[in-house]
Amino acid sequence: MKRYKLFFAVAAIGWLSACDFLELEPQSEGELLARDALNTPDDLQKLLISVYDVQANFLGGQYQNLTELLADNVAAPVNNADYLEVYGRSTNFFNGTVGGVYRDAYITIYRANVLIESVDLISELTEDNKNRIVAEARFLRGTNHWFATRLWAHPYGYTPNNDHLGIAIRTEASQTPVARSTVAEAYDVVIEDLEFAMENLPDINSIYATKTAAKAMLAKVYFEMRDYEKAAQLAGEVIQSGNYALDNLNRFEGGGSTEAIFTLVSTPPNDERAQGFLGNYRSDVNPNPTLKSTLELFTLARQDTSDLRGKEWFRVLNPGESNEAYGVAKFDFNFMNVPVVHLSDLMLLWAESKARLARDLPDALDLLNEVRQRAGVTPLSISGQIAILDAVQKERRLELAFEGDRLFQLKRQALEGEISTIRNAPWDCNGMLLQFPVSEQTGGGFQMNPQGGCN
Amino acid sequence: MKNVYSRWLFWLLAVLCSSTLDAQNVSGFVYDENKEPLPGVAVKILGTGIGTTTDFDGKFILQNLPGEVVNIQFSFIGYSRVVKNVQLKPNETVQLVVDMQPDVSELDEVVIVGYGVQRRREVTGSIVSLSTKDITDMPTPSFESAIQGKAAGVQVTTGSGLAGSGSVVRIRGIASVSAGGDPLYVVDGIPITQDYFLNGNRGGMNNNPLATINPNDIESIEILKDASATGIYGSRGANGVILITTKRGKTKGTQYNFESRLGVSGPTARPNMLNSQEYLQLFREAWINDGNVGVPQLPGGISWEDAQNINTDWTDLVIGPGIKQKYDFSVTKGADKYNLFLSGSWQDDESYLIGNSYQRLSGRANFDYRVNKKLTINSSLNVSRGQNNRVDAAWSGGLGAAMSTALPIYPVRWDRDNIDDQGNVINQRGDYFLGAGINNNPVAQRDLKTWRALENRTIAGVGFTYKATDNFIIRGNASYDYMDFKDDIYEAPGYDPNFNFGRAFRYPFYSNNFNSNLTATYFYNPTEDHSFTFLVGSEIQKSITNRYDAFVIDTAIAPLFENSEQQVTNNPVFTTNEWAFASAFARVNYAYKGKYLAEANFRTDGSSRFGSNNRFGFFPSASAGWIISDEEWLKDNRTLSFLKIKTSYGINGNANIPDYQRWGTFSRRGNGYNGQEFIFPTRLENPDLRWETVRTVDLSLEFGLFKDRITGEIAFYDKLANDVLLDVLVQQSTGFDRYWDNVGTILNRGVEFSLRSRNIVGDKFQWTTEFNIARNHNEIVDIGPYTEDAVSGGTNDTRVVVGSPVGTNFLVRFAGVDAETGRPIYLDLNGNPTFEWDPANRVPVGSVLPDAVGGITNSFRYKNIDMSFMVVFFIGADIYDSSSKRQMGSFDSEGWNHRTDHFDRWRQPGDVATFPRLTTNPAMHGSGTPWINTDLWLHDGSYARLRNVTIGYTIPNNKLEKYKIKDLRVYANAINLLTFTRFPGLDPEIARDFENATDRNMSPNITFLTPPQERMYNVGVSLNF
Repeated sequence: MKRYKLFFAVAAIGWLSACDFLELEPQSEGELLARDALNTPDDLQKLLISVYDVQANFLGGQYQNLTELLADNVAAPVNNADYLEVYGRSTNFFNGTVGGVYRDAYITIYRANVLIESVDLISELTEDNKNRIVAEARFLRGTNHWFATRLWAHPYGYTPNNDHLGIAIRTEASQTPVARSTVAEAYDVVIEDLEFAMENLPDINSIYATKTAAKAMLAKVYFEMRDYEKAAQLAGEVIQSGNYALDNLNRFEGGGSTEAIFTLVSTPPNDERAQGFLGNYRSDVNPNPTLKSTLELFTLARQDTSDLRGKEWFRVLNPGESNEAYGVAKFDFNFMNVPVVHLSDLMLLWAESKARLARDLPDALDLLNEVRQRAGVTPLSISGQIAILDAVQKERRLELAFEGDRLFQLKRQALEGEISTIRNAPWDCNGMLLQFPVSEQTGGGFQMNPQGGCN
Repeated sequence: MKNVYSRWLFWLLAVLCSSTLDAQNVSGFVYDENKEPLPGVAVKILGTGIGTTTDFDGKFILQNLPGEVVNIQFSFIGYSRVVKNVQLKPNETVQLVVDMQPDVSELDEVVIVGYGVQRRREVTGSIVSLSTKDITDMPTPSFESAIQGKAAGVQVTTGSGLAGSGSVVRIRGIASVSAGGDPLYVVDGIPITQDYFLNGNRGGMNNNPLATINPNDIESIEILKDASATGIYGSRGANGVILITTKRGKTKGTQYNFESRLGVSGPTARPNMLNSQEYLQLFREAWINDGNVGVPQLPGGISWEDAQNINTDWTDLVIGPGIKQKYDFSVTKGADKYNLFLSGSWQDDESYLIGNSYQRLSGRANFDYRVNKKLTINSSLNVSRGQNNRVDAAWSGGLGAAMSTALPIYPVRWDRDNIDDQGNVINQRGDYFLGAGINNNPVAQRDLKTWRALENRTIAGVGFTYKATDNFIIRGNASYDYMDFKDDIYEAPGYDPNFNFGRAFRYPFYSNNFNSNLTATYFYNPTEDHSFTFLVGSEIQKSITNRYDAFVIDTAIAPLFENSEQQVTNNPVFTTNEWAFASAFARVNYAYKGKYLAEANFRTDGSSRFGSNNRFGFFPSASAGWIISDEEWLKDNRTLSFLKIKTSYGINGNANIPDYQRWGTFSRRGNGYNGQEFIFPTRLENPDLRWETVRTVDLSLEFGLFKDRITGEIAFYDKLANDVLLDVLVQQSTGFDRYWDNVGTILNRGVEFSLRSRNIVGDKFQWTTEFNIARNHNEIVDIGPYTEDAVSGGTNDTRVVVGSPVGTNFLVRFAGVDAETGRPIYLDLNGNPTFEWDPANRVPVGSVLPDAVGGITNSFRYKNIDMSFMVVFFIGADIYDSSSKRQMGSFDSEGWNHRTDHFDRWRQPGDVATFPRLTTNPAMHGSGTPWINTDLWLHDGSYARLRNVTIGYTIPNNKLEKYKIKDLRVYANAINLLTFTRFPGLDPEIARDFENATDRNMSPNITFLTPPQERMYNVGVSLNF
């Protein structure tokens, strides 16, 4: 019987120690438990870097390419079924590329939210740093909510009260499913974030978001809302700040540019962030790139033989053959920075806003001509609201070609009543909006975009 | 006390008075069917209390017997009883030699159960036992594929034709979605590492860890199916348990065994791809159909003119006969103090893919040492080295490319210098043609790439059995399962156009698995009618797996295994995963009069994978049985020789999910944006995560007819899985992709039938038929608040649909081709025709799960010739031929080759055709994408297959004696000789290469360029001496 007791004693000891035995924590290199992750101001700064990290992927061409595919600058894509679907204006909820872009937009937002919710938990954080970190987070959160609204919802002004369906607004780090907001609500959130950022960001902040970056972004938001007054006001302040000057044409080249207002950078030798541009457009190393220019844009760009943009940004592929095509050379770099907002964008924005307001027309023409002269084109001497507006719009298409601007320019023109179709389809047909990923339906109540109707 | 004494006295007197006082003795030896001494045989004089047992030499002696006629009974578990009638004369000592034969009824065989053994007749759970012969008759490197068709309710799908690939095994359907659905494998009491994608998925399939175990070393396999049988494994048993018992020394003396086999392999089917002319013709037709003129631009930079003169049959260039060889040698030794089993094996298994082979060198030493009458020490050691020489297949190239993007218009090599506009020679004559990338030149890919996966593995166990008394036994066991797996890839210069130097990669992976258990067994027989067996025990298990991201060597000159001096040029991330179980368990068996049986199991498991809220799970089960044929009123029935009814009820669990899901985590990485270090949230805390539980009810009837000439079993079961673990997709706007949640309910309900009939039992000619079939109904009863699309995985539109089985094909319906326009017609949700393909119109149209699986084996023996045929069948599962949506879809710039089936397409108004008009524009087929899933690609995957035909000849003993050979058999067999199916693709037996459990559960037979199974022819010899 003694032996039995021993047996049970051993078994009991073994059992009591089981609880510790089962308490296994992750211990892989670089893996942290949530409760140990954010303890110091430095940890928060590192979390902030991770927000930029995703943002740089999101805006490294992936987002911009989707917008171009819906517009009229690029020809039908090759070797990319997902892109072809977007180009065909019939994305479905399984489109992995579209889903990936959406995902990146919201990973940034989630991390920004975690950051905003964590600043008060770290007592050593100085008030200045806290304001800066929150402002940077809100700058990126506001930007991404706006960018998502532009592709997944009809534009501001599509309905009189903007009560048409918007997007998922995420201002808390939460797992709870949400339904779509209205576009008005989405814009409220975007403007609130960007205004906060504008007030609280520092003037100088290394390569990261600054006060002027937020101001410039907000100018673009108002421009798209067709609030030309506010757009011109903010853009004017940025232009007149004197901090930025037109550079040479290659504002994307690694190393920075004097005209970049907010840039996402690549860091040689291993960190290339603009793969979305390079991998799809580069025609110097790829004889048949996925994305090429339409003949229409190419013709426009080469109309004026002195236009450096026509010369340097385009390349004829297979000249004279049956498969002649118009390659893009604008992104022929090994390392490329992405100036999300830059000076020539704001100059044209200001010029157009003024033209639409029919105010300061000579100044508007001056800015337009500055942009033209930088491209080696002779200045225009025109007058009158309509002529200047036309010239600015044409200039804008060329200057910002393939940078993800054209679609929104067209939609704005449609809302102004100037056009009614985009690439031969009604400008507001269902397929002009991207479809949400299938998982958004989780939890019910999330209304997907209707499909079809464009072809 | 006095009373007892007087009774003794009475007996003594009675014995004394009824006989003379002379001493009569009976002694002798008992041998088994192999003429080996049989120890432990009960020897009993019928009608008296006199008895003994044979010793280790099979010897027995009965002394002081009455001088009269006595009937001596010899009995031993698993052997037919022998009764000898002996006339004893005064003072005589009679010598007997008794040969015992195994009991053909098999009902008294010992069956291995969890942490013990039981007699088959007393088993109340549902267990299938397979013997050495069942396991070794299939010439495959790994045992699990040999189970196919032999065990009712066990569905086995052999991996594919790739060498060394693993099988998918499902016991009684599938009750999991995102948690692993594989059974638990236990080798000699050691739960082993089994997942074949632990080291990621490269090249379409991975090494099968079960191939570590040489099938020739296996003594028996028991498959535990119901809750009672698996109950003792508690949380690990929800998907069934497979117990593997390896051979040990049993009999006295030394015996040697040698086996060898030689074979050749080819594919069961060959792809029917278009040749160059046909491809150009159809592509051009598509081009013209779209309103174009002239000829389309061809992929790979090939001009239309050049394409006319090239016709490469890539299939021919990747397929060739594979040679297989295997050599096994083993020694079995028994002595007074110890038993020993030693074996060594070498196998080289080439598949029909050129360059692909699996080579295994393995050895085993099983040792038992009897320290004294009470204590026995045992140990087992298995070391093996599995080397897989790999080639790309399926989606990663090779035969997969030959069936897809390696076009017949691409040459293998340039037949002239390739000169660009500036006059530079870009490619010289004889260079590999890489215009479409190396993936589309399978020959260059194979030649320029060296790929070897090497697995070194040790499974070692040591244990003891301490027989404190005859009724009380303590057993302990500790084991260690270590796997060192390295995948080495070397890409020679020229492989990747981005690098003008060679590159080497290594993916190392190490798995350590510790297990120990301690049990105590107590036999309690208060009276002759009642017998109890109690078992209590505890077990702990811990697994540690370590791995690195790829080691990369830029500017390599050789694979790392050939030149280990090369400097690794990256900084690979190290990850480690740990999980642990701690468990306590108990079992009670009760038998009343040997015919009323009951069993109860209890197990509590704690798992490191769950948070403190739900860490421990309790898993009870109970069962009962009644051997009706032992009742008086049925005992002498001439027809019915055995009848048993049994039933069980119990709860099992499943914790087979990735580690650490309970923890909220962040990751820290260096060199992020702007070269900075950064940290970011990776997972949310999940403290409520808990066990998936399965409640099983089982009712079955075992029977034997005509003195057990016919035996069989029919079983009904009902398995309801609750809290099913789903790796659900969350709204991506949350910033996350997925989250583990216990939400689903899944029902598996089925019936199993198995039968063994010895049709003819003559001396010269014997014929036996074995048959089994199992029908399973699988249904998702509930998935909580989620939609069909809620589970990640589900490749190619298999979905979780309430009311439909796990892995329902959820597809847009294809209704035919419009005779006027040639456009495909789809059906919307209401069944109305539409030209638009819209995934919102998906409906459940099929199921990847079979309705019924089974097998039938006929074995014949005529004198020394034996022959057997085995047919397996698989009924009612649909196969989604995912690659055919490209092979017979639109033509596009990515350049897939098409199949000859595609000739049956619409060409002009009025045509009635299977496939729509050819096009290069997916919009013509109603979709924005060329990849569209519809039920046009869904096929009935039912098949019957002549799995194994074997003919053997055993050389008569008398011719061998002078060579001291005991046994010699030669045989020849053919595997997968014939397949009967309506599936229009390659081979209907498909196991996709999914590394994630969800896909393995949901989409097992979604084929995508999957290599077909092997057809093999072998000759072999088996020799005992």
